[in-house]
Amino acid sequence: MRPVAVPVFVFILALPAIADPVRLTSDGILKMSPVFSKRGTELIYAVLENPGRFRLIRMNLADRTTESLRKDASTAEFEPACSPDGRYCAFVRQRGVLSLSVAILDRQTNSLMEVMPPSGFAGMRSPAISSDNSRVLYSFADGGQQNIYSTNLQAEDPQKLTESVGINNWPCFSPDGKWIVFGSSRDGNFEIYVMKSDGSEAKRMTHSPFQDIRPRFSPDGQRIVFVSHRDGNSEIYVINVDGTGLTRITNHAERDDYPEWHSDGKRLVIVSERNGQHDLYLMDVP
Amino acid sequence: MLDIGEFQAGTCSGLTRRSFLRIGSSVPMALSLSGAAAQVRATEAVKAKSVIFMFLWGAPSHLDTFDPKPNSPAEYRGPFANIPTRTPGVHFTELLPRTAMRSDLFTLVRTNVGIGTSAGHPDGGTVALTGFEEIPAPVQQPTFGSIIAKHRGSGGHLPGFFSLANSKLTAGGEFIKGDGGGNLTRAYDPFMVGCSQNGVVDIPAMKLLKGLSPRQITDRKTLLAQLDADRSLIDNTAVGDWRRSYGAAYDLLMDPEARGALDLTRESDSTRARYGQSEFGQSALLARRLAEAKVPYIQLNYSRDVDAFNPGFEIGWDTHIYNFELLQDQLCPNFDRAFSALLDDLDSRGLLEETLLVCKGEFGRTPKISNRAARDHWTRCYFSLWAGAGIEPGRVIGESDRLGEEPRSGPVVTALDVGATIAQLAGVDTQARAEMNVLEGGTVIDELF
Repeated sequence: MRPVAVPVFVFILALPAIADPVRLTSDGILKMSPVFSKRGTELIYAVLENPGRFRLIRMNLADRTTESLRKDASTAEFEPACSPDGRYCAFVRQRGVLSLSVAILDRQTNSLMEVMPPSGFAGMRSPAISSDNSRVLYSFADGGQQNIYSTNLQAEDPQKLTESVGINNWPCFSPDGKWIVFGSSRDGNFEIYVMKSDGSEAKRMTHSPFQDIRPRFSPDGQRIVFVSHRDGNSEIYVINVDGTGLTRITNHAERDDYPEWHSDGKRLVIVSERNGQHDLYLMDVP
Repeated sequence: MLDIGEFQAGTCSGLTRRSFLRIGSSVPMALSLSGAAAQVRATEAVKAKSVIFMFLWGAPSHLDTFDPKPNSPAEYRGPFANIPTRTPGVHFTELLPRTAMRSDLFTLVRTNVGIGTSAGHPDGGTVALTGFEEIPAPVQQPTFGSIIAKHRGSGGHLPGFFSLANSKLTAGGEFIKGDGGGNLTRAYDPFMVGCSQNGVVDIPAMKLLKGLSPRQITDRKTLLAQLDADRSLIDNTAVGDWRRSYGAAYDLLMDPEARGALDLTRESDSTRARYGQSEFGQSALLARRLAEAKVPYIQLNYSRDVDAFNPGFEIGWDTHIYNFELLQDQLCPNFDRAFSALLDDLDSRGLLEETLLVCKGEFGRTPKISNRAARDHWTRCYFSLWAGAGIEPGRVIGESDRLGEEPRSGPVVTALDVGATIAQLAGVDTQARAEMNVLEGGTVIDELF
């Protein structure tokens, strides 16, 4: 590697002492969007099985055995979201040429409901389920904007929650269902925002010239984990919901991404790139 | 049904039945290894002993990568911040941190343009690879690699023109018509080699006829006899090309040196890691090995990833929906890692002096953000990257207008000019191009030197 001068966009933050992350997978295949389910006993995540196909994988956290979540899936499925009890799982499903739906799976009955995209190149991204299993959030682009919507678990009653310029994405309900945290480029670049669950009173949480994305509420609703490029590459940060206590919790020259809280509120699962390989890691949160 | 040739090269000191898997019905041609067709010219005029043409098929957004417009209106700008590069005053987007730190190794052209009405992927691909539009059909113009392979001959023990992809580049069943030898004949079609994210090499032309095991093909005569016996499986009009293809595959299999060029397990773990565990990353490493082996032309295709959204469309950068998410989640991280690793590798091994690295798509993407909050096709202004073989690095050539819609100053660079410049550096000079009746009207981009 050539010696290089790193550009100066470093924000000085204290890095707390954290135990080494536990590596959960070792195949190195690109993984995205891990989420805990069934009160933290299982993980659901997407793997790029081959360059043309994302598949959802279920991991039993106790013994780390894995299996396909949907063995009969015939198209790409990715970006899973699970209800805390594990009954429901929403995910993005490829429907055709540049056409993506949000599918909502009832794992008890194996029934599948879908929020269908309009015809042409279109689709939904980034579903999230409320803790009371009443609503599903997702992002959808139309009219030159990408806004956040919600629907019930029968894929009915769609409601548009944001109306802003730019890209609004990665929504997540607070545990009490009263708030939604999300990423938005409405002010020029990606920052983290919080709004009420009806879409009102949006408030900006972060201020960085580089992208802040993929926010997630902690199980107690008091903190938000997110990904930021503010220190030169993709790292994981935590901030209190009142905007204080910004803390960087990863520090590596390679990518750390896709954080998700464990239900105990003390650990995160993340996707880390190490030596060019993408694997799941479980890490403590100070 | 024919069988494919795929092998984990590093694990086989010899050949095993397991080395041979399956291949589709479209078997790419290869060049003769005999050298009989080669017209190797004086090497002193050849600045680029090897060309790596990194083809970003699907067309990357220029505004979100190498030509950001931070002061443009919100409906153009996109959400990404800019970062400084090693080139004073030049910025890329934050999606390319590694590449930005190596801008002193390459030169960026920001004023590439398309021609005619070729704004779709297959027809735009033909323009990008030949310099000419598809009309009139059938396409007569050879792709750049075919021209150089014909002029320079084979790369020692290896074919003269490799295309690194797991299959012919396809957009929903439509192929790039200008991806082969054209009027130079199919003998100069690329020899296709695929590579998985784990570095497993797949050689379609190694497909053997049913029942023919590697143990049985102890000599070329046996192989060709078997091929002749099964002509019914082969398009009679192309028997000669097929024989050449199998001959090349056979020689490649039987020659340890040639086989070794395709063996990524001969690389250290740290080297393989630098390129990243992705199909494109490991293919980029394979391209470096082929350049090291003096293969005249290697077309390194980044044609995958977006096809997870788009079944049957292996057009990696075609981001009509979720452009920004795809760029930040997959495409740019993979590209940034592999491109910078390739630059470092070529540079540290002294290969950059005699290897030309060119990187571009078939066009750019709309500066104005689309109805789906993404970007569509845009042929009127886009970028290309140039490194090695005498290119003066660390510069930006050409300037687009304030919205990135049109060239504002500097040379207006067509694909034909790109082809002429590549050919010139690879030793196919003006006279040779005229004799071959190729790339007529193309102008060498003098500003690169």
